Amino acid sequence: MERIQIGDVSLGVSTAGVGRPLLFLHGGDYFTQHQGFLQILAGRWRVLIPRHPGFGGSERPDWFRSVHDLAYLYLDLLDHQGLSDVVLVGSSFGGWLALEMCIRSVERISRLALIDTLGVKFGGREQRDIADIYALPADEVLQRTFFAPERAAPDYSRLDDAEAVSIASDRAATALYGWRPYMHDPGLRRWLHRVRVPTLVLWGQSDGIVPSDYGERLCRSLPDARFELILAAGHYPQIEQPEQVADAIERFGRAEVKP
Amino acid sequence: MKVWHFSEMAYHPAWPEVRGSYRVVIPNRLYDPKIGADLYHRYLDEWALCDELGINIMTNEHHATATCADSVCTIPMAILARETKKVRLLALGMPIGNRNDPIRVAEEYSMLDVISRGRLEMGFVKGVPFEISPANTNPADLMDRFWEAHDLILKAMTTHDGPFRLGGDAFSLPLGQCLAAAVAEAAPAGLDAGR
Repeated sequence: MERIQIGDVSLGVSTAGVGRPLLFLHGGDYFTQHQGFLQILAGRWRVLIPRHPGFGGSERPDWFRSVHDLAYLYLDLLDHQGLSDVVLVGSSFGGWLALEMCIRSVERISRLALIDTLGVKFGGREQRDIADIYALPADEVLQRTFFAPERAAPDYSRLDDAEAVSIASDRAATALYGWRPYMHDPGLRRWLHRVRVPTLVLWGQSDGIVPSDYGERLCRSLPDARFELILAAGHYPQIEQPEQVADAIERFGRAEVKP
Repeated sequence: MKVWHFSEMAYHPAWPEVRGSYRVVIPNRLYDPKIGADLYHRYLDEWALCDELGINIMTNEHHATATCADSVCTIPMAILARETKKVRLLALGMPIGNRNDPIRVAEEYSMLDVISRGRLEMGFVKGVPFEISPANTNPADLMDRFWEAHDLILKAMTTHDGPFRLGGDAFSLPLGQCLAAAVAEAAPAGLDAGR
C-alpha cells in the first residue's frame, strides 16, 4: 500500500492494473473479503483503492471526522493524481461517499457505479430505511448482510491479532462517521440532482441492510441512472458474485457516453 | 473510614417476567407504577435512615433497566438534599459523555450542593456499553466528549465573573455559567470513574 500525502492526511492507497482509472470506495466491513473482486477489477482498469482514514490502521487526524471530510479528501486525491475520465465505484458506506463527492464536483468523474449504497433517507420520522446494525443482534445483522452468510463471512476464531484489530478499527471508524444521524446525511437527498454523471445502481437482491426497493428509489432520485439487480447476493454483491458485478461495471463503464 | 450506602433502586418484581436482557429492551408493561412508587419510597426511607445512623449515601443511574430503576441520579439526591441533614451525598454518577448539555449537569449538581449546604460529592462516569443505545451517543469518540464535558462542568461551577464563551469539538456555548455556584471554594470533590 502506497502513502499519498494530501494536506495533513497520509492516505493509504493500493493501486493495481493499467488503463482507465477506477476509484473504488469500500464499505464499513468485510474489506478482506474483497480481494477476489478487486483482482478482477485490476485486470481491467487502473484501480485505486484507498483505505479511509481511521479504517484498517490508516491514520485519521483528530479534526477529520465526517463524510464531508472524506468526500473532499477523495476529490483532492483525484486532483493530486491528475486523474480524469474516472469510473467511481462505491459500495455501501463507500457509495455514500461517492454521492457526497458527486454533488460537489463531477469534473474528473465520467461514470458512477453505486453498489448497495446508503447515505440517503427517504422514509418518514418513524420509518427505518437502513437496518440498524448497532441495535440488531449480531447474528441477524449477518443474516441480513449476505445471501449465503456461511460462505461469505470470515471465521473470526481463526483471525490473527493484526486481522482482528484491523476489523475492529473498521467498525470503530464506521461508527465515528455514521453513528448519528444513522448512516445518512439528512441534506443529501435534496442535492442528488447534482450527480450529473451517468450512474449504474447495482443491488444485491437479498440485501437486508438496505433492501432493493431503497435502491430503486435512489435510482429514480438521480438524474441519469439505471438499476440492475444481482441475484444470489446480499449487501456486498461484489463479495458473493464478484464476476457478475465486475462485468456489470465494465459494460457500463465502457459504454458510449450519451450525447 | 467512610461508609457509604448504595442502592440501584432495583425494580425486582419484573425480574421473573423478563425474557432476555434486563436492560434497555425490556417492555415497560412489566413495570407497575404503584409498586414502583412503593419501592422508590422504600429506598428513600432507607437512605433517610442512613442519615440518622451517620452512613453516607450514594446514588447512580442506568436507563430502561430493571436492575436499576434510578434513571436520573440527581433526582433521589434532590429529595435527600433536604430530607437529610448530616451525611455526604455522592451522585456517582452522571454519564456525562452521554448527556447533551454539560451546563445542565453543572446546574443540577450545583443546586444539590447548595440545597444540601455543601454536602454533595460529584461523580462522573463513562457509562457501560449498553448505555449507548438509550442515549444514542457515538461510542467512537465518547471519551473525548467525556473529558470536554468534565472540564466544562468544572468551569461552569467555578466561573464567577458572568457567562463564558466556548466553542469545543463536542459542545459549544454562547453563554455558559450556572447561577447556583457551588458552596465549596472550588467545585465539590469530584470522582471520575471514566479515567
